[in-house]
Amino acid sequence: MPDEERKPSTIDYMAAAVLSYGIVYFWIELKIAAGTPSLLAYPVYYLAGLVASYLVCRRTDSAHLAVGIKAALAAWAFTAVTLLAFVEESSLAFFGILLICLVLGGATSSYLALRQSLQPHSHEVDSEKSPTP
Amino acid sequence: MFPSIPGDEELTEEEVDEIIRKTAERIQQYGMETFAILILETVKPLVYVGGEMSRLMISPFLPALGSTANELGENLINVFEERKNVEKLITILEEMARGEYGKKEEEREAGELQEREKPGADTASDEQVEPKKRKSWRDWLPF
Repeated sequence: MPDEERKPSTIDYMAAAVLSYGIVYFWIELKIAAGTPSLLAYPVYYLAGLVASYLVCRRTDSAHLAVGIKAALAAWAFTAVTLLAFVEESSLAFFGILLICLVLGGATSSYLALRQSLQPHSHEVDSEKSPTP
Repeated sequence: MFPSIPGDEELTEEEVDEIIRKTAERIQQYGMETFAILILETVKPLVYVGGEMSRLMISPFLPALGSTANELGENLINVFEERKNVEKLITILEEMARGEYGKKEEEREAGELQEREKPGADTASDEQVEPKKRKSWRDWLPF
């Protein structure tokens, strides 16, 4: 049905959360193994939120900001629970910074996704290329 | 018997459309269509609460800014506390962002102009309408 408004499902949010967690976990392992500078962590967390939320925001037709923030919060919750279980010495400050970076990434991604969907005829080209299941 | 208070009169459908159109054009002038759509879509469920809050917080201070600002402010609150008007604004902004806004009207106006110019081709005006210069927040950036 072409007139039906697209909305991301719970599976989409979970997929975004897992993807975001993957990026954050990869960074943590890299830091342990290679001793990468701590300051680089912020852009990596931001990118983790950006990439995951952008992919979810592309699957909606309205309320991009709400969807982006929801995806970022899902990513944060999943990452926090998993890191608490698997990684020792995770501080409260780390989770606070992670939340801020992911939410900022989610907000940016919603802007980018909306801007892309407003490009002339981009929506029609998208729907032709990848029909929703 | 009593003098009318700005914002008390019912706005006609044409006046409402005019306010929405002017607001959209002002947003477009600053190149903020995408950002405005993003924010309006998010706050859309709360516009009634926002309207009532502005009546409480902003309305009492509007008369101090002059009668024009008072009337404009009251009209804006009246118009944008209704969700359907916010949806109209979002639709116009989306059309503007896609470059589809006003195309049909322009084509119709161009057709009418051609019809009018046919009998006296010599009287065709050489005046060219200068395109409106877009203001933007990017003008403030030093690079």
